[in-house]
Amino acid sequence: MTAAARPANTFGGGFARMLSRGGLWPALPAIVFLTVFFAMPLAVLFAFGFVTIERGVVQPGTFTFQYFIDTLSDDLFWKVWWRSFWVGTVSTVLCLFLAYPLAYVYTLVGRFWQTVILVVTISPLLTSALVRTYAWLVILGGRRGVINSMLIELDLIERPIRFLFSDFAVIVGMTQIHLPFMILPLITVLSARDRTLEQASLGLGASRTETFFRVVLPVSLPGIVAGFALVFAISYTNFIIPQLLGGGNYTTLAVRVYEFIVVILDWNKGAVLAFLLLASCFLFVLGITYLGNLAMRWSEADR
Amino acid sequence: MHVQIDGIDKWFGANHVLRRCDLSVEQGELITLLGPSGCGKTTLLRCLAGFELPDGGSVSIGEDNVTHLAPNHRNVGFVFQSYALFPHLTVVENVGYGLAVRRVSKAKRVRRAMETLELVGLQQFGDRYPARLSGGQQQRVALARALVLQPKVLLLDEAFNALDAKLRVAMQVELRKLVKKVGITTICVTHDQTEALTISDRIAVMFEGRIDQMGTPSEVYERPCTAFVADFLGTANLLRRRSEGGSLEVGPGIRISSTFDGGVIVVVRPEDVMLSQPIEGDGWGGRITFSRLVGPSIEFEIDTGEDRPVRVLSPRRGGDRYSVGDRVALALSSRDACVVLPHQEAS
Ligand SMILES: Nc1ncnc2c1ncn2[C@@H]1O[C@H](COP(=O)(O)OP(=O)(O)O)[C@@H](O)[C@H]1O
Ligand SMILES: [Mg+2]
Repeated sequence: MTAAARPANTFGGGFARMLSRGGLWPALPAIVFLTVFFAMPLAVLFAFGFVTIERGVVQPGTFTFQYFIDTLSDDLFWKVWWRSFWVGTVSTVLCLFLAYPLAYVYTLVGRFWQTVILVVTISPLLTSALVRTYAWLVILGGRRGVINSMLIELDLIERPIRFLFSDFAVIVGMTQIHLPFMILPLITVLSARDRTLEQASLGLGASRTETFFRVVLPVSLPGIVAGFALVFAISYTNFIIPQLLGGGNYTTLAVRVYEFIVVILDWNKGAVLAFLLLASCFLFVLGITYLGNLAMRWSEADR
Repeated sequence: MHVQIDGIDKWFGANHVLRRCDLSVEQGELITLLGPSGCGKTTLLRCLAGFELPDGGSVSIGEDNVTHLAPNHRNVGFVFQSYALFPHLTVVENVGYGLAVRRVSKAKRVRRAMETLELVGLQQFGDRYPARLSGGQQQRVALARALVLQPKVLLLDEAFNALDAKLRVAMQVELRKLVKKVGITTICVTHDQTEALTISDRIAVMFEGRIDQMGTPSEVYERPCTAFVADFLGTANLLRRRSEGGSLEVGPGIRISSTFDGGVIVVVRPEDVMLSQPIEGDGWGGRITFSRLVGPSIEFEIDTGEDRPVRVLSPRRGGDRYSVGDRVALALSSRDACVVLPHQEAS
C-alpha cells in the first residue's frame, strides 16, 4: 500500500481500516456480549451518581453533580484513596521483584523445571481468590495462626504477634494472590527474547551480570509494563483481600464501593465512588503504559 | 593475529559435529569457511569466539591458548548472521557498547563510535534505532560494533545472507576493502561459493566437521583434492576410472598420469573440455542430448555411454555449430584433469 492510498490516521480512518480488513468482525460476539452485560450495567451504575434515588426509584429530572462535589471535598475520601493507591503500588512492586527472577530462571532451566515452575505458578489460580484469602487468615491469624503458633511453639515469642488487620497483611495477601499475573507476562516476554543479543554482549566484553542489566532487562520492558499495569489494576480495585485481611475498620476505595452499594444501599454515593475508582484506575494504567512507551521508543519501527 | 585450531572435536549429544578439525590462519588474512549447511561452520566459528566449548583439541589466537577462555575475555569480533544489534540502543550506542563496558568515557566513546561509523559510511545514522535501518545498514552497524574494539580476529557468520543479490556483491567487495585497510585477520563463513571465490585470500572447504582443503580460490577451484571439493565449487564432471601403473585413460586415446592406483575419480571442469567434429575411428566422444544457453556460453550434455553424461561448456561463438543429436568428439588437455580418490577412501 502506498502512503497516498492509506487513509488518514484519524480515529475514523483507523476504524474504517479495521472494518475493511475484516479485523473487527470476529470480535463481534464478544463486543455484543460485553456491551449488553458489562458496558450497559456500568453506564447505568455511573448514571446513578447523577440522579436522586428514593426507595430504589430514580426521580425524574433530578440531574445533579452534588454527589461528586460532596465526595471530592471529603477528606476521608482522599485518605481512603491514598491507602488504595499505595497498598496497590507496594504490592505490585513486590510482585515485580518476586516474579522477575523466577521468570528469568524459567528461561534458563530445562524442560522439566520449566513445567514445575508453570504448574506452581498456575495451580493457585485453580482455587478462588476468596479461598486463598481465607488461607492467609489462617496463616497470619492470632494465637492459633500458623506462624504465631509455630513461633510460640519454638519459644521465640511469648505473645502472638499481630499480623492480621494491618497494611502488612493486606499487602502480603495481595502480593501472593496476584503473583501469577506478573509471572506469566514476564515469562512470555523473557522466553521470546533473542538470545543472540546476550552472546553479542558477551562477545563485546560484557560480563554476565552486566549483560543482564544492559541487555536482558531493557529488552524485557514490554513484559514489565504489561505485568505492572495488570497487577496494579487488579490490586487497586480488589475489595475482598483488604476487607478480610484488613479487618472491620480497614477500608480502601474498593471496600467503600462494596459497603455503600451492598451494605448501606446508598447507590448514589456508591456509584460516585465506583466511577472515581474505575476512572482513576484507568488513568494510572494509561500513565504506566505511557511511561513504558516513552522508555520503549526504540521498538517503534519506521513511522 | 595468527589463529590456530588444532584437532578440535565437538559433540552435540550423539551428533559428532566437529571431527578433529584443524585450521590455521595467518595475520591479516581473509579466510572463507565454505561448506554445505550443517557441516559445522557456525559451530567452528562459535568455538573460536568462545560461545561453544570444544570437547577436545585447542584454539590459539596469537600466542595465547584461548580454548577455555570465556567469550568476554577473548576480544574477538563476531558479526552474527542475524546481526544481533541491541534494539533498545541507537546506532552510536550499539557501536559504543563494547567501549562502555570497558568504562571508556562517554565523549571518547561517541567520538570513536563515530569514527568507526564513518569507516563503514554510516556517520549520518548515529541517532537511529536499529529497527529503522535497512538490512545492509544493520550489517554495517554490526561490523562497526565489532571493529571499534580493534579485535584480534573478526568473525562473520553468513553475514551477507539476508541481503538481496546486488547489495550482497557490493557489501562483499566493501568488506574486503575494509578488512584489508584495517589489516585485521578475518574469517567469514558462507555456503555461497561465489562469495568465497570473490572475497577470500584463501578458502577452507569444510565437509562433515572437518576442513577438506584449504588454498587460494584458484588452487581450490583448479586442483581440488577431494571429489566433494570439486563438486561443491563450481560444476565438475566426476568420471569414475581405474588407474594402473601411474596412469589412466579418461577416454579412448586420452591418458593422464595419476598418483593413485585403483578406483579413482577424474575431475574435469566443463569449460576445459573441447568439442570438435568427430573423425572416423574411436576417439572419446558421443551424442549431444541437451544444450542450453548460459550467458555468453552454451552448456552441452554429451552421452558417452557412461551412466552420467559429460557436461561441456563452450563459448557461444563456435559452440553454436552443434545441436542436440549431433555426434561430437571430446578433447582434453592433461593439465586440466585432476585425479582424486572417491569419498569413502578419502577419509
Ligand atoms: N546448540 C546446538 N545443539 C544441538 N545441535 C546443534 C547445535 N548447534 C548446531 N547443532 C548441530 O550441529 C550441526 C552443525 O551445525 P552448524 O555448525 O550450525 O552448521 P552450519 O553453520 O555449517 O550450517 C548441525 O547438524 C546442527 O544440527
Ligand atoms: Mg551456520
